[in-house]
Amino acid sequence: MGAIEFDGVAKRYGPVHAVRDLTMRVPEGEFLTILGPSGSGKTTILSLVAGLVPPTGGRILIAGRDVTNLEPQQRRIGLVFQSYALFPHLDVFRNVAFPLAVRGRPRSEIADKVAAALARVRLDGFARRKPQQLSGGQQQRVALARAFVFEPDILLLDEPLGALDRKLREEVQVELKALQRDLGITTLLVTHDQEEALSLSDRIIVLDHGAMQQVGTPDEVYRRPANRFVAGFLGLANLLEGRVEAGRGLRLPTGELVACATQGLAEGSPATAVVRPERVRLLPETAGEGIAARVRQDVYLGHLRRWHLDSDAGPELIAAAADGVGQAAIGDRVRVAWAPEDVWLLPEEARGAAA
Amino acid sequence: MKAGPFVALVAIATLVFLVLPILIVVAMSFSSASSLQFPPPGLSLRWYESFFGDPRWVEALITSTVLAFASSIVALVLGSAAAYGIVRGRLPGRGLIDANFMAPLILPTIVVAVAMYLALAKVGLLGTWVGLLASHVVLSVPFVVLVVGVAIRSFDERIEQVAFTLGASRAQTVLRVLLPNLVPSLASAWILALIASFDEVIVTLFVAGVYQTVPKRMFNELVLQVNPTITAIATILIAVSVLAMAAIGLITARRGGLLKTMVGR
Repeated sequence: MGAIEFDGVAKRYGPVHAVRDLTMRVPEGEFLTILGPSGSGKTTILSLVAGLVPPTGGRILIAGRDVTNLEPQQRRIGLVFQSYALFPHLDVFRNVAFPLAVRGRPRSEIADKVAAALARVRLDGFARRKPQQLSGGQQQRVALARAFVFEPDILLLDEPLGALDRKLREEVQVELKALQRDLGITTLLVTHDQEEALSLSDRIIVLDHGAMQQVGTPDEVYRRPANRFVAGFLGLANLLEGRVEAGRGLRLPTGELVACATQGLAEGSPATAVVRPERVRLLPETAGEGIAARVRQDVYLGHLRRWHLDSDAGPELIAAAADGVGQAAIGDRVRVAWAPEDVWLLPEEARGAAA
Repeated sequence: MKAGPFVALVAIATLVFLVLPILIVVAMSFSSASSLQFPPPGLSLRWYESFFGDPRWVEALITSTVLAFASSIVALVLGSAAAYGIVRGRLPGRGLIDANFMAPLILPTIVVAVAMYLALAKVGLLGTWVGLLASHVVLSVPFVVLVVGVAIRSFDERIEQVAFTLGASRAQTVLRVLLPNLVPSLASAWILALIASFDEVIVTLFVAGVYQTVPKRMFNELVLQVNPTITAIATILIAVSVLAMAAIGLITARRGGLLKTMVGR
């Protein structure tokens, strides 16, 4: 068990910066997710921690030990790949026993620990199966059991749920979270799936072009994104540009005022208001508040209904509500409104990473 | 696409053209005539008797067999190690090294023979058993590097990386993870190397000195006289090759045949 520390870690492939100057601490027992689009450098960070590629700068510490120049064998990490990377020629028992066998542990200890690990992932009775005879979900659990059976300091998960279908994925998410909490093991998960990140993590790092955009708890990064990239990557967001009126809100170019706290932003400075679709209320056209809009599209998602609106305030707006809560048909004229506390204001300089 | 009757006809004609001479040799080896005649006037096993009854032929057969086993095993070990280094290594110029291992397969054999002759003479191994063994290893190694290299390349590297993180040293990873998964390819490579050595004649003529292998004796015999014993030997060589190719076919059948093994997924 132990914390992970990144101290100015960087990785360059020729002219490409895969990871730029990463400095942060993952406390012991934390479940941290590295979230980013493909090519953002998230898998590179995992490979750096695992020791599969050497960094071009900085240091990595695991449980207080500088592992920067250690081989993967000496780092005491459990690693699970999206492809599971099970040993195809070994049965489930010998796959899970592998890390203990290469350490030369006694046979009886191996048998006990493997049995306990398989029971922990609910695979007792599968010990003599070959990986090819297991379903994707079962293979994933074998890979997990193999990764924690030798009590490593940390667990590294590279999109471990990516190959599972949606329903199974949601079940495994719940199990994975419970397992991690039970083991109390510091865990680094890499994913591009924002739902997975939000539901599993204690904290999330949002990564883009190798640079950390934000680190925070799931509700921090969702509700108070540090910039437009984070706002857009974690779910849908309405982005409204305007100028700050200190103490009142944001004045849009079309004249409407979006009421919100202005947190010390200078009068007249440009800023962007972020409003999540589920915070947007649809009001009748005759309501005395809000921004006038017309329903362009009505998307039914089962548990949710979503409306895409052409607003008089300029950009397209999106509203969402639990099924049965709101009513609007395509072509309807409506007004949209939200509470001032549901607006998050981004200052101009936070726009940079949007591209 | 469905082949038309014309395509089928061409295919059959080509096959007959390729196989017929071989079948004639096989038929003549069972002939009772004392000179090469086709069709054979009667059937007998006299040419097989003359082959196995002649201690010089038997000695050549033993030499060929021992040489083929020894050189193919050395080629398998060295070639597999080379393939691992070429595929998984980080050494610059790996492409060049790869090409170097392939050279004996691509260069005209006579060029390789002259080169081996000069090189072995320089180090004083010309005409020795070690020199003969070394030259056969050089000729067999390309098959091993090719087949085993493709097999390593198509084996997911992440499986080896996971083994490292689980605490396995590189040697443990190779022995416990990589090699068990390469068994079919290793067997195919070994058989190909075995045939390459067993059939070899040109380089052997240059470097073998007093050692007589079966193909070398056949060549020397044919220069002097045409004896039907040759057809019996040829039939034995054909049988060995056919059996070996059948073995490879069986080994690789589950993986879609040799071609697929060599080309990868």
